[in-house]
Formats: sequence, structure tokens, C-alpha cells
Amino acid sequence: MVLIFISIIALVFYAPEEKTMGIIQKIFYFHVASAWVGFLAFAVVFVLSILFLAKKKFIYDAWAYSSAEIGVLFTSLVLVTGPFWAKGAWNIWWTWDARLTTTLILWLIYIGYLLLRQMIDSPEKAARICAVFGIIGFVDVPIVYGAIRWWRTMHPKYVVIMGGENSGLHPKMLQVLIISVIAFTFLYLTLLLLRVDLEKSRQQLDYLKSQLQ
Amino acid sequence: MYYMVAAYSILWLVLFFYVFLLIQKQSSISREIKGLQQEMIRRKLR
Repeated sequence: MVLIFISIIALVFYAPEEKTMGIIQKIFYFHVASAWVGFLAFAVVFVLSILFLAKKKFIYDAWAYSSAEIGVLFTSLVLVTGPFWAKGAWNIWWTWDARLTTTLILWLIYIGYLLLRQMIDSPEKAARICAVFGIIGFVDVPIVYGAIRWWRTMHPKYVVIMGGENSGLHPKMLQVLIISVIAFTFLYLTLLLLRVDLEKSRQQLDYLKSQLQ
Repeated sequence: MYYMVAAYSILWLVLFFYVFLLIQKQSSISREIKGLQQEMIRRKLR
């Protein structure tokens, strides 16, 4: 909470205003941080799904499922904050540009993952199928990341990692971005712990119900 | 300016709502678990 509060103060008072876009560019800090958490969450799903398939322990599945839900939440935030920035900067809400389209596909893949889990009755079968789905779905993450490098897009080019000289990010903007990314990473970890606790309680409830029947 | 405020408002509203749902769901499941545990004890005592 403290880190989030610091990042809000920093982006309002410390981060300079971008010359061409103006104040609307300040959406950048939490938009990028949300995208980073989305990628991180889906990477966690990928690793834990492999672990689940290898070791067949349901605790890995509970962590993967929780991480997928939080990943969808943060990717939804990317897809909501992005159009506001686009409307202010490009005067359009949406365009079928490579980065935007691949992000939408990523979101739909993990919405599918969550729906699949609800649709399959047997918990073992749902865990196994979703683990495979989580591993295959992760293929889209590097595509989303590489979209602005491989195709001509309207989306701003890379400015932080591999941006090269004169890539355009002011040192103060970079500092605020790093604070935001760290704050959102801690927020992700907190939400993940809360969500995993809920999943464990749900499993305990199912066990108790089966004992009573 | 308005777009930035709208984007941030939605972002925080969604995050707070998600946390609220998590806490609410957790407390309702905990209540249900407690009820079932009491039911199990009652059955054992009978």
C-alpha cells in the first residue's frame, strides 16, 4: 500500500509532463505496470502448470488457477486504460494494431482458461486440461511482447528495455515507472496469497462436504 | 485530463472491488466450513 501511495504521488508530482501528449501520457505508468503483472501472472501459470503435470500435486494447480485469475484482472485493466490513453493521444478508442490485437487474444485465451475450469465437473480433469491450456496459452505472451518489434504498429515503440540511445524516456519518467512496476508486483503477490488462501478454503469445503455425504 | 482521471478511477475501482469480493467470498466459505465442522462433531456425538 505504501509503495502504491508513493507511486501515485510520484506520478502526479514528480514525473514530468510529456511534450506532445501532455498529461494523458501519465496513464503510461500504471498501464505498463498492469501489463507487466499480466505477463508475470501468466508466466507463473506456465511454470506451475508444468509442475502440476509433472508432480500431480493439487497445490500447484491452486496457485496456477489463482495466478490466471489475477492475470486476467490485470490484462483487463491494460485493455481498459489503453483505450483512454489512445483516445487522448490518437483520438480513437481502438485500432486493430498488432500489439492491441495480440493483447486482446491473450486476454481471451485466459478467459477461456477460467471458463473451462467452471465447465468441467471433475476437479482432476479440469486441473489437467487447464494445465495444458495454460502452457499452450503462454505462447501468446512473447508474441504480445515482440509485436511492436516485429510489425509496424501505432502502439508506442519500446523505450525501457532494449530501447537504445535516444529512446525517449526521461530519467524521472523511468524512475516513476520502476516504482510503479515494483508496487504492482507487490500488489500481485498480495492478491495471489489472498486468492490461494480462498482456493485452499474452497478445497477444504469440498472435502468436508464429501465427508458428510 | 478527464481521460486520465477516468482511466485511473476505473483501475482502482476494479482493484478494490476484486479485493472486496475476495474477502467476502473468504468469509462466507469460512462460515460454511465452521458450520460443517460443527455438524460433523454433532454426528460423532450422536
